[in-house]
Amino acid sequence: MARKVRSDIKAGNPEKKSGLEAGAVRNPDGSDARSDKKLKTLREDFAKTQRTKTPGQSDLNGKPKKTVAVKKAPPAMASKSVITVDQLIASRRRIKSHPKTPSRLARSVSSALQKSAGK
Amino acid sequence: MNTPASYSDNVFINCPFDIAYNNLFETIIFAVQDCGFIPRCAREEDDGGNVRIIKIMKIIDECKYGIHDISKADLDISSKLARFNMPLELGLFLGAHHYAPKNHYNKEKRSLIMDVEPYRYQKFISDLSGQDILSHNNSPKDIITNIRNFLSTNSRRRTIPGGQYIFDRFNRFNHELIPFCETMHWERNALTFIEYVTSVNEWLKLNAI
Repeated sequence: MARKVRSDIKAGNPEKKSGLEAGAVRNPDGSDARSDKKLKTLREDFAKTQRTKTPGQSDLNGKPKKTVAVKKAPPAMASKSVITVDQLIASRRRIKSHPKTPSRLARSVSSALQKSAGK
Repeated sequence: MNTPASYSDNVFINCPFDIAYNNLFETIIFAVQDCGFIPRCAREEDDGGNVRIIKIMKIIDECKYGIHDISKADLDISSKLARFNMPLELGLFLGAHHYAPKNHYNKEKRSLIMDVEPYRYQKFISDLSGQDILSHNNSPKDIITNIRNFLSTNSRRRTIPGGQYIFDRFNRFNHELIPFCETMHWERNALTFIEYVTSVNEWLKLNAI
């Protein structure tokens, strides 16, 4: 089993140790990593991009792909014409639970209703 | 004296619990809940240890509103005697309102009295002649409209939708109740009061609009 590479090692060292050519270690955006940049920082940068990156976000060269921003219509505006006055009034009132209803029963009924809704 | 919890939301339901009336009973429960109130009735507790009339009086005390259907006043086929439970509970509700001291929460009590036909009640409870009694002709739609109008007028809430809207939702709920009961392994026609109330409650939460 290979030994874990120390996180405080700098980018230039593994290039030398593994016999790679200079500039082989790169930043997440594809640019050359400075030789004094620590491996820990590089790992953090990669982890950050993994969290935010979605498939197809960067091209083959590792450069971020340009995306065209599409303005989404707010959901309320999209369905505004369908909502009737009664629906609007009903949406404002609060549904109150019966004092004798056990909360466990309410939970199981709710999940069963969701299941049976698709039938 | 402290006002009971949710007093202004509690609606006492005084109606027959016969199988023949079950559809209209469920209609009342749904209408009350879809208006944003809590239906209360003697069936909510199944404790044989409690004296029934004490239980009913306790529930009446906790409810601001009362819905009374006195339509089932005909003779019982087997005993040939009339059923007096509904008029008795109506009397208790009216008495609680009347005899409450000034500024007591029971002075705020409001009642809706319904019968199957207009003016029929004058033949068997003539003392109610001075009151406004509505007829429902055994129609779920009429019952929903009566309840909706009563709760809207007396509570002054602006969050109560129209009768036709509640009726349409009631039909939708009934349609979805059968597959739901299959999922829960419940028998559709043998639901207890708490099971039905909980089903309506959760359905309303999932179908807010």
